[in-house]
Amino acid sequence: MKQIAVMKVPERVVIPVTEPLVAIGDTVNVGQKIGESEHSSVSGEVVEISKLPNKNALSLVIKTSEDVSIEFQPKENPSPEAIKQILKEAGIPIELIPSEIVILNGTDEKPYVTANHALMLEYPDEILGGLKILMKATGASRGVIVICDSDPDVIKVMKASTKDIEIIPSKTTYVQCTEDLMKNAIAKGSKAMVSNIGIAKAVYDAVSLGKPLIETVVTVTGAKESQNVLARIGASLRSLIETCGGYSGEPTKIVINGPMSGTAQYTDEVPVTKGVYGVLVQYDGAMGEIRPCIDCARCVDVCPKDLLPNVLAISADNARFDVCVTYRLKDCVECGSCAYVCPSKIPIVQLIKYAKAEVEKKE
Amino acid sequence: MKLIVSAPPHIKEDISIEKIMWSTVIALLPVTLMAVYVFGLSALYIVLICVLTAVLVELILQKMSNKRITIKDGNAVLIGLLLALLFPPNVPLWIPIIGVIIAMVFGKHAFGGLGHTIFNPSLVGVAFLMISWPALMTFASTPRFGASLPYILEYGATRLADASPLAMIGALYLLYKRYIDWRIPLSFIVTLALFALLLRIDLSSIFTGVLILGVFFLATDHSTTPVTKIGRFIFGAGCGALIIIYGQFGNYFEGICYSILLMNCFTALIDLYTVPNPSRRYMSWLKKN
Ligand code: SF4
Ligand code: SF4
Repeated sequence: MKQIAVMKVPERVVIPVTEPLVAIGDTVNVGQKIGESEHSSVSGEVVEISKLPNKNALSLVIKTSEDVSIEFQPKENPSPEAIKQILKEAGIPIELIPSEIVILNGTDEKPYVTANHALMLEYPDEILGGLKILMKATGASRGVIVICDSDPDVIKVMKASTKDIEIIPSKTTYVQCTEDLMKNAIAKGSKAMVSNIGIAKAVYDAVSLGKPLIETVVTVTGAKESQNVLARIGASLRSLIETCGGYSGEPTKIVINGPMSGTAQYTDEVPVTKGVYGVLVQYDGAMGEIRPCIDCARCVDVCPKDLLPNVLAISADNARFDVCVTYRLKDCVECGSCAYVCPSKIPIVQLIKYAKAEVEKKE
Repeated sequence: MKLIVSAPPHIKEDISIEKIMWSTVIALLPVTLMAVYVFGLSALYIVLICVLTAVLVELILQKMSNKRITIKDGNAVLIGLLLALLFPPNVPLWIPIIGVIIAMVFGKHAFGGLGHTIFNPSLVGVAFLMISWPALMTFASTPRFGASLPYILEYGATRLADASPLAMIGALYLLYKRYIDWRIPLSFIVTLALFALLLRIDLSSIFTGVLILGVFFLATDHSTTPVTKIGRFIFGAGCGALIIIYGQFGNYFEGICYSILLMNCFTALIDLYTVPNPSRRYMSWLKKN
């Protein structure tokens, strides 16, 4: 079975750039550099350059004409320094830090996001190749891929494809999105770098094929057909959802990235950017009524950072930010686990974010 | 298209106060039915009166103070039912009414209602009755005789909950769903067993329906027990130890009620001194192969 559907080329793409290298009216090709670290994901004409509402960046609108692509030229056996340069040129959002271990986070926020699962089944060799390139560039001797233990198929495929890369199964929880925890648990103090599967694939494409980052795999959930889609950077969420058969009702919420810590969007015009791996459409926005905390301690039991989320939430609600700080407010990684299990539907993460902002203001 | 923009998480577990309370009530239904089977209609009357009074008192209190009516969340029903199961079957029916009123007024709503209680409301009611009318709170007449299955069908039982300790097996489901905590019952039972072994107390005299009710349903009440993990272990252990001390000097029924109430007093203190240690390692979620 094909794991990843390919999106048809969108009519227009919107790509945020910091410093545009092209002007309105220019024709651009797929893969052409259009900004400091941005590349056009389609071939067409630049029709608009506008300021993004709340960011200090411009957005470039490209109208697609016929899809001509340029030949990509890979460099033969590049040195670690050259790899760094290639990745920068290819617009891959990664910071290479010299380390002993490179960890790829291959876990997914199931069942809403399965992009990593699909990528590893489809491109095991490319991902391993990408990891090895990263190891070379950072001087690491150990390569690790963490995979959910509920994905035995992926673990099997990955184990069959490699001997020298460690495959570590991890308990399936939402928390593993916090790469910090993953790093501490595996590296135990030695220098480590955490990256993810999508980046590893992009690294391989950039170094071994010479292809810049113009596509990303996105899990679309809540459209008529939920599936993984290879989406062009800059395509609107709406066009992405249309690829999946469109909406199956009147949507009330569209979330980019996982349901536990993703961001709800104002409109479906928002473009897919680098780093988007999931789109979740919801049709029922009601989250249940907020009731008083009953001290059931379910939130305490799930907190990966061993905090007391109930104390944090109540203190924040009462504007006792000093109490929040004593209860290690800053350690919270905003994973959302506590709010997920709360029977009283208390918006714990929202309160914690609010407290963090207030504390920052005072400092 | 109108989209809602709110903070994550964007999904929530299918759980609510209602679910927790009503599941607990359902878990107590088998033992209630067994009590009616063993003791006859008098047990049924006690249960009905307790539950109805509890709901009524809550309704009146909330109407009077113009608060949200919360009788549907099942907490009032649960408080009434828990209290009913602690009565001897021949108690005059005005006693449960007073007990429930005390439980609801002074146990629950005086502190601000669900989530703010400090003492287990049902136990507040029982404690009041035991002090005021001790004679009426013990079983006076001779129990009915008949073939009895130990722990399943106890004709010699003296309280509703004692009729069938094993009928409270539903507690396992609550534990599994994490509607009640497992740390308190575990440390409770372990401490009790250890002390009983040390002091050579016959465990079967302690192992009654009321004890099971206490361990799984009264000592696990959310608001009146600690929230920290270590705190919950301490709470359970404290209950277990206090029961033994009580049992040495008084009777075990009082021991169960008072030990949990006494530990309720320490809940805030325990929480304060067991705030989780920041230097803990987070290894447990990563399985090595
Ligand atoms: S307090 Fe909540 S959001 Fe923060 S780390 Fe703990 S569980 Fe996650
Ligand atoms: S899960 Fe919700 S109700 Fe339970 S203790 Fe935490 S904040 Fe309170």
